[in-house]
Formats: sequence, C-alpha cells, structure tokens
Amino acid sequence: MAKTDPELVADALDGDPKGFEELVRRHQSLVFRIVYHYLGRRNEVEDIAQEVFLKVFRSMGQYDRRRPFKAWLSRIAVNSCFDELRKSRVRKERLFSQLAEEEQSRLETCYAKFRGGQGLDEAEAESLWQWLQRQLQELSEKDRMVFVLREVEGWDYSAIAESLDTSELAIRVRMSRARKLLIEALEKRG
Amino acid sequence: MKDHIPIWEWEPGDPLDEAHLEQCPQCRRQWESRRYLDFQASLAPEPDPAPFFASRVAHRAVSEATPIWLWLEKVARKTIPVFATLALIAVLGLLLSNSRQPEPVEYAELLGEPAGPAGVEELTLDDVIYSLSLPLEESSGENQ
Repeated sequence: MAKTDPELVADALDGDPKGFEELVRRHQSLVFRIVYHYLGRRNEVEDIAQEVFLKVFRSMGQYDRRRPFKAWLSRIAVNSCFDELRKSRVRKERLFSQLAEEEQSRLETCYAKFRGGQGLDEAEAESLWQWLQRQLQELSEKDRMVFVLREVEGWDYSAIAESLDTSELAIRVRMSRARKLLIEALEKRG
Repeated sequence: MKDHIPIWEWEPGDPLDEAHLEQCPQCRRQWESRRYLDFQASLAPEPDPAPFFASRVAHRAVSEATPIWLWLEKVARKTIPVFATLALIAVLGLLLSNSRQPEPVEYAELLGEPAGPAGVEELTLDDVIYSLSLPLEESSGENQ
C-alpha cells in the first residue's frame, strides 16, 4: 500500500531521499500549476517550483503531520509566488506593455468565435490566455492569487482561505473585487 | 426595474434572475462578459514538469541540506524524551531530599537548648552527633 504524505515526510526527516522524491512526484503538478498560472512565465516555472520544494525540504521539521500536507505545501507555493512577484515587479512592467495591433485583431476574432459558439485554435487560445494574464497583473497580488486558485484551479473558498491564512469571507470579497475589475476591463475593450 | 444583478458575485449553482437579464441591457452585457471571463480562465495551459524533475529536486535538496540542521533535528527528536525523563528524576530527587532533611530546631531541642534563630543557625549535624556521643563514652569509662 502506498505511504501517506505524513509517512513520506517522516521518511525524509529520517534521511531517506526516496521519501522526499515521492512527495515531489505526487505534488509537482499542483506546484507547477499555481506558479505558472499565477506568474504567467512559462520559462521560469521549473526554477521557481524547484525553489518551492527546496523550501519545503528545509522546513519539513515544522510540518504538523495531523494536517493535510497539500495545504501546507500550497501555502509555501503561494508565498513563494508573492516573493517572486515582488522581486520581478520591474521586469513584469516591461513584459506587459501595449497590445500589438495584430494581437488586438486576434482577440477580436476570439470574441466573435466565442459569441458564435465556435472553438478556438491553439494560437487564439494562447492569445486569449495571455490577455487574461495581462489583466491579472492589474489586480493586487492577493486578489490575483484568489482569482487564479478559484477560477483557474477550481479550488473551494475554504481551501483558498487556508492557503492564504485568512477567512473565507475575506476570500469571497477579494474574488468579487477581482471579477468586477476583470469584467470592467473586458467591457472597456468593447 | 429591479436593482442590477451583481454579476461578479454570482457563483456556479446560484440562482440567476433570467427575467431581469432579458430586460436589462447593462446586466445582460455584464453577464456576457462574465461568461467570457470564465471561458478565458478555462483556457489556462497545463504546465508539464520535466520527466526527471522529482529526482533532480530530491537530489539537490539532499546534497544542499546542511547536515547540521538535519543532524540536530534528528538528535533532538530522539534525545528530548531522555533528557526530559532525567530532568524529571532530578527534580523529584531534589524535592524528596529536601523533604527528608530534619528541622534544625529538633537538634537544638535534643541538646536541651532553647530553640531560636541564633542557636539554630550555628548548630550542625556533627555538633549533634558529637554531643550525643559524650555521655556514652563517659558512662562506658565508669563501667570499666
């Protein structure tokens, strides 16, 4: 029978590297998704995810084995994203400048296809996702995280509240605010 | 017309006032934008970890780990109960030995001296043993 996460943590603390490797294998997708969908930088995802797991390894002694490992790991991943965002604020501003005309027209095609119930090709889907990423940069770091965890990752409000160490009500308020701003941005675009 | 629907608060599964949407162009437009926003969020690409990511990270973690903290943590986890037990035994021993020590006043009373702070402070156990042994030696000398 497969070992539980707390058992693997105990193995890792006893010096068994296989225990930690199995933990990484089990949860790598979760970390990759949070990092990529929050920061939107495909080429840096692996490095940042690696840093998340190294932090996990270094602080494993503080993990409370009565609580779900996934929630503890998510909290570390979320905080790492916030740290990374603060470090790279200047770079981000350069990345997300004005939309090129060509892209603007592609986005209009996307909207027309959406309204007509047609599917998007890969390049169009990628453009639309990039557009959403740019809008997300306009939100506060926590509002953006709430939006990503709820709308992209599909988490429930209580899990988000636990990862951000706050109340469910505060998360719902952030979610409403994020959606409102994004809807307004869509309407401004026409 | 009723108040506008706060479209941004709507969650899947919540009831939606469709009659109002039919009549209100502003809410209808916002509802359309909300649906488009949800659609965009569903387009998020799936990032795939590299094939040997887990083993690479585990290897790096183990090789970078400072042996001191791992060692300290391991030693602490195993020795804390032993030290705690020893400390408990030491405290109990101390309490027990304190409770068995006789009151100095009793020795003073044995000597027939009035008990008081000044006399008690100067009296030691050796003094008491010495003073008790005196009459015995004298009486044994008399018998001879």
